[in-house]
Amino acid sequence: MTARRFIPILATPSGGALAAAILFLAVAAIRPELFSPYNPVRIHGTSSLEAPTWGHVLGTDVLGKDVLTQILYGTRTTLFIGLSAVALSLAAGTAIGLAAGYWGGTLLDEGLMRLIDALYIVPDLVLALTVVAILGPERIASVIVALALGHVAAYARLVRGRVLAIREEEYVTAARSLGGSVGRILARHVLPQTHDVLVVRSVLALSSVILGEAALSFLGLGVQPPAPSWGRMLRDGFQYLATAPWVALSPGLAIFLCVFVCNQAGDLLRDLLDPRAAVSARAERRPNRARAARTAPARVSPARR
Amino acid sequence: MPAMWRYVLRRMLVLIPTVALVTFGIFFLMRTAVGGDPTLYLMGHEATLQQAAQARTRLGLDRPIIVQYAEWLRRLGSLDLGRSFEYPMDVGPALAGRLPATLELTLMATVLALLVAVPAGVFTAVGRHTPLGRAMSAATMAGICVPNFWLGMLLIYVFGVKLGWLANSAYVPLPENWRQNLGSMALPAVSLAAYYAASWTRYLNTALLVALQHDYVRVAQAKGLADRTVVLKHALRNAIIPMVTAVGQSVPYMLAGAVIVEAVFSLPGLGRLLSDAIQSRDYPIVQGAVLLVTAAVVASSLAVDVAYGVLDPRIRYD
Repeated sequence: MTARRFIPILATPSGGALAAAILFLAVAAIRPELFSPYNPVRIHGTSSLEAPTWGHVLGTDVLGKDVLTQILYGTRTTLFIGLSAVALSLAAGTAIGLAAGYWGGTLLDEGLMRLIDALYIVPDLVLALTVVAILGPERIASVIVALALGHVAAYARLVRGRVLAIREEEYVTAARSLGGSVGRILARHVLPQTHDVLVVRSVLALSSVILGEAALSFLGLGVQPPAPSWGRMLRDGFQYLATAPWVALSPGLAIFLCVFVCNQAGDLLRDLLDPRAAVSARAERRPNRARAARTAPARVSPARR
Repeated sequence: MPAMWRYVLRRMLVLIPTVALVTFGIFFLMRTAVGGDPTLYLMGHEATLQQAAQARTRLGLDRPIIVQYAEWLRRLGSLDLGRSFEYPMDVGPALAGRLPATLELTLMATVLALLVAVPAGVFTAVGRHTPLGRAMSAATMAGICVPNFWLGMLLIYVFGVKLGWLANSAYVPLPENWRQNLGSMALPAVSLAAYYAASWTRYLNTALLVALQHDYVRVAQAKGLADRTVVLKHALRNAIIPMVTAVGQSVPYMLAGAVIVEAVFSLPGLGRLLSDAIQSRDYPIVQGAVLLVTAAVVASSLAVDVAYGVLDPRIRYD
């Protein structure tokens, strides 16, 4: 992953737009006050449910708070929860995958994979709902843990599969015969071979976590007030859909755009870092070459685990 | 196909401990959680400590967790899922009462998504250089980013508020009045289906583009077959196989999506029952609903494996 490969992409219109959007999201999350003169939590009883005007571009909610300002401040909540949940699931999933893969075939592997299977067969939102209810929704940490758990299984399986292949490589055998400790072998020789797929997976996981957080908040189990949250704005605005549609519909647009940016970035990174998964994209660009088809991943065997 | 059934049986034996782990995990965590005491929700804050203790004894919550779990498993053997803490009814009938709406919602969404995805997937692959093909690709990109609950609201706003078509759209069970039932399920099904229509279109598009590179396609073209026959009879039949996996693997996510779509449209489905039960600590309902959902996930994953063997005769179960 070198800067040399990234710069030409940033020079293309879509790459440039994507970079600008990511920059905007980052600045909005760190310094939302740069874009809005209003206080996101201050209540103005006299300007309840005002339609969009130049003063309030996206109108005001029932408490008279500026909707655009709340969306901007909500970026911080969304990205904080999203990035934390992805980091947590990445760390836990990678650790489990490394252990299960390195000691593949042992009782440890078997036990860990059963645990991963159990996490995998519970739908992510159902898992998140249950975990938030158990840990209590009043703490932001429980929302992060709940959303992270849904992604641990995918990381663990991905890393385990990679490690199972890598551990048979000669350089790993060499490191082992030179007396390298397990920790050193995993950290220096195995882990660097997995980071490409993990980066791609993480960016795509971020979009799914953002959607999950919004869904939890919409059900009333996400971030609690006064922290601004897009999902809760949707929930609160839902009852005024007939009279003041901007309150509910604008935060949804923000969620949509944020997820769109993540998905685009994920696709772009996959093309750059994980050429095997991007084979179809190449096939599309070079329709007459059969090479892409021959390098396509092998047929999936039914004995998937 | 005895080998296939042996394989299915073996898979099921492997999955039993996994499902048991899920149910035990939730059983254990809910009972040890901070604020996990359901008597607090059942009796309110006015209840005395003695009353709460009596309620715990009545519900069997004062016994060790492992004993409670063993009891739950024993009852499960006779298909008894216990009794709801909150409502005066057994869990089995409570789930059965909510199942039709969820089943109908997910089935309708699946059919709708497939009806869109198969033609759209073929068209975005074959006509990828035409303006319409590009527009459809862009639409699928948008489709996978739209939160289903927001799409639901948007649909309610357009069809309910602006066009006034939803005046009489309260949920009615299918056997009672099928017209009104379909009317009340159409928008929820569209909200749930949009993501899958887009995602499966992309999936099929990719698979078809790969299939079209194969030599057998060139042979078919060289034989002088019409383009339509080459694409639909030769390439599509091979490209549809990986799509079966995509559809099968979507089942858990669709069930999860149903939780929130049911909340938006106030449908009396399993998802709403589950999210309400989680919030009121109605353990028996949560246990039963999670068991049902995981069973559906397991069944769909097995169905995918079996469908594989039927669609692709090269696959052997051994």
